[in-house]
Amino acid sequence: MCPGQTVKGFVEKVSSLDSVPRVAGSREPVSPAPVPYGERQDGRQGDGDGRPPGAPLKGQSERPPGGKRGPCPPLEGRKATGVPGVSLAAEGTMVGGLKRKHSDLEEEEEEKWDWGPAGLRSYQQALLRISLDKVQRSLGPRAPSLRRHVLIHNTLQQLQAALCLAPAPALPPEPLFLGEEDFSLSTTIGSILRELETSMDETETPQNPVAPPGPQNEELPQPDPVFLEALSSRYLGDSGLDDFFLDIDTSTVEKEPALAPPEPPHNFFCTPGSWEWNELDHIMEIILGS
Amino acid sequence: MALNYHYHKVMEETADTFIEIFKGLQERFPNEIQTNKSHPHSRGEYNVYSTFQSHEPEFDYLKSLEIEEKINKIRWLPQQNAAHFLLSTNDKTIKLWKISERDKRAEGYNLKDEDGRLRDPFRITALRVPILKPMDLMVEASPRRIFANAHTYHINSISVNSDHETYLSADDLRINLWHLEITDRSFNIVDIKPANMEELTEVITAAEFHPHQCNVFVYSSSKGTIRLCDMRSSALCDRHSKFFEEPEDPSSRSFFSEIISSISDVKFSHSGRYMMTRDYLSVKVWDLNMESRPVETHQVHEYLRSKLCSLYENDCIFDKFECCWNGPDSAIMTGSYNNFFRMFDRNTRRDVTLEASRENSKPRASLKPRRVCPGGKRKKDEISVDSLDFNKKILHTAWHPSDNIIAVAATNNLYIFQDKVN
Repeated sequence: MCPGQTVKGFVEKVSSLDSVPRVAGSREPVSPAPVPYGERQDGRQGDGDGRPPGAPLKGQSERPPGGKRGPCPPLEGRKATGVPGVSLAAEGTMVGGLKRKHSDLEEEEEEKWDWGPAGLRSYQQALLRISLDKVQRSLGPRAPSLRRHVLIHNTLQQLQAALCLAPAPALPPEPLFLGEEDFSLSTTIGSILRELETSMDETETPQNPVAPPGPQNEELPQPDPVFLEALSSRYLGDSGLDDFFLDIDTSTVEKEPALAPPEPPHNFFCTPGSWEWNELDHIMEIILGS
Repeated sequence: MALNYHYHKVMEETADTFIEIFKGLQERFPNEIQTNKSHPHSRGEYNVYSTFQSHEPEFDYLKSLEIEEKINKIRWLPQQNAAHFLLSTNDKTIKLWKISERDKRAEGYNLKDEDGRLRDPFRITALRVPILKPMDLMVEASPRRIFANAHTYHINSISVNSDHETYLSADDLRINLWHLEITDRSFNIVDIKPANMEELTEVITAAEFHPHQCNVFVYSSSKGTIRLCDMRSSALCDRHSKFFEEPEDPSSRSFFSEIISSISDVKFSHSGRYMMTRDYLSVKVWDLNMESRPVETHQVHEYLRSKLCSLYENDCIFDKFECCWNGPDSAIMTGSYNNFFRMFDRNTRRDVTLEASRENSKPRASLKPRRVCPGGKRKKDEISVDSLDFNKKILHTAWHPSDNIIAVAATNNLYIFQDKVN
């Protein structure tokens, strides 16, 4: 992965990642790591929760203090819950990255970032994690921004494509992986988009001159989780369709689409096929990935 | 006269000069003095004209979602009488507001007394005609129309048509056409929602009517494309008449290419010949007759290109900046971070970075141009990229339609700048 990376240098690497070569796998020369993003010349400290001083508050107020910071490496210092065997770096150390003195900065800049295949892959995986993090956090009581979702989704797809192109390391033959990196990712994206549709789907308002969509979307033989389809049928106001789903027991996996999804459960044993399971799936891949 | 040796003489001469200047000023320049008094803006002072609450927060119980009262767009209607009309919209509802002044009130009603209480009819012995008396200026804002329930997704644009009768409203996936008088009906003219939402890869980001041709409008997308539609061709403008897209530069491709190409604002020039689009790092001017590429590209803050990863992480990369033309279409303006805003002169090809900040400029002093140092050695008076404050973003700017006066919104302050009056 990234040997020799300490948590101390973790935060500073965020800015050095900005001078990443553009195309996956290319070997363009990298400019020397610039002064970290948000760090002021006079060495002023950032916010207590580790955010760079110049960063906006929007989109970060929901973050746990000192949590999830910087794209790489994804393990060190990352608040990974529910996965045994991963060391949880003290949250305080994240903050330490920004409160360091200017002299420490210069020390770090001499470390060259590894842009070989391993470094690139970890960068991509880190971006992947940031993107998934964004999607997860944006589902809340406020209606999410569709534009933001679509842009993050498209970025996720590019990352997925890039990760697939890179030689994937051999995965242990466990059934839960299915040997396909695609499956968990696209299911995650798919379920996120469908969840978005449920919460933003057209209602049958009488003033709306546009005909509300019929139940064409409710095709049963889709391989994706059926429970989300059952939920979306509630919003189409078609009682016939509701009856159709009565025999399916959705109590184990059904959840309120409008509430924010819970944090990744501390309980390691999730229901197979659920959203959390796929997320976990993905986390395991990253851990075992390099 | 050397000041040291002839001090007293210099003082006398100076005093005499001043007296000459000011003597008879009132008689010689009565018009100019009057103009100065009646136009306080020439002295750089503005007062709030009116404040009113346009929208209230709502809760959609069916979907368990809050609908914010935050106003996304405001558009003035062309003025037809003494009152001003504007359209304001939040995510879901558009409202037409009438703003009118009242500086007289009637006194001497017959049926009610000065407190407004009804008079006892038996007490009325004589009739009188009410008299209009002056009063302190009162500005009233009243909602005239409410256009609701036509958008499933968040409204991002409204645009008044040149026919002064219709307007369009655009959300992420649909554009609706309204008549200003009719609130219970709108016509859907663009719909890009896919049958399967999982296939959604592009959303509408902005839309505007052509300033002169009432059948033409454009809409921009999150993929950096602009489509021009003609409403005469069909009722549902699913097929564009023109498609504007600049081919991507392969050497600058990154994971963020699409996000930074997302257009946040599109504005026609006053002439109607050009349109301007704002994406994350640049402003582009397009000739409506050429779809293959813009005729001008102006870099707003290219030094941020190497910071895209961080800007993605802290969400700044999703900020939506607006842009505007000046009256003659010779200059364009847009905002940036750190309370900076940029102006580009299309004729001289010169550009300038200015700052809207109370701390860094005195009232009535000329604004000093700013420079951002992209990296490496920082010269004196330059600001390094890493000391930029990304909380202080200027998303909204406006240029007076005929004068050189601009309004710049910096977080919770409004700045109004104008050309220096000689």
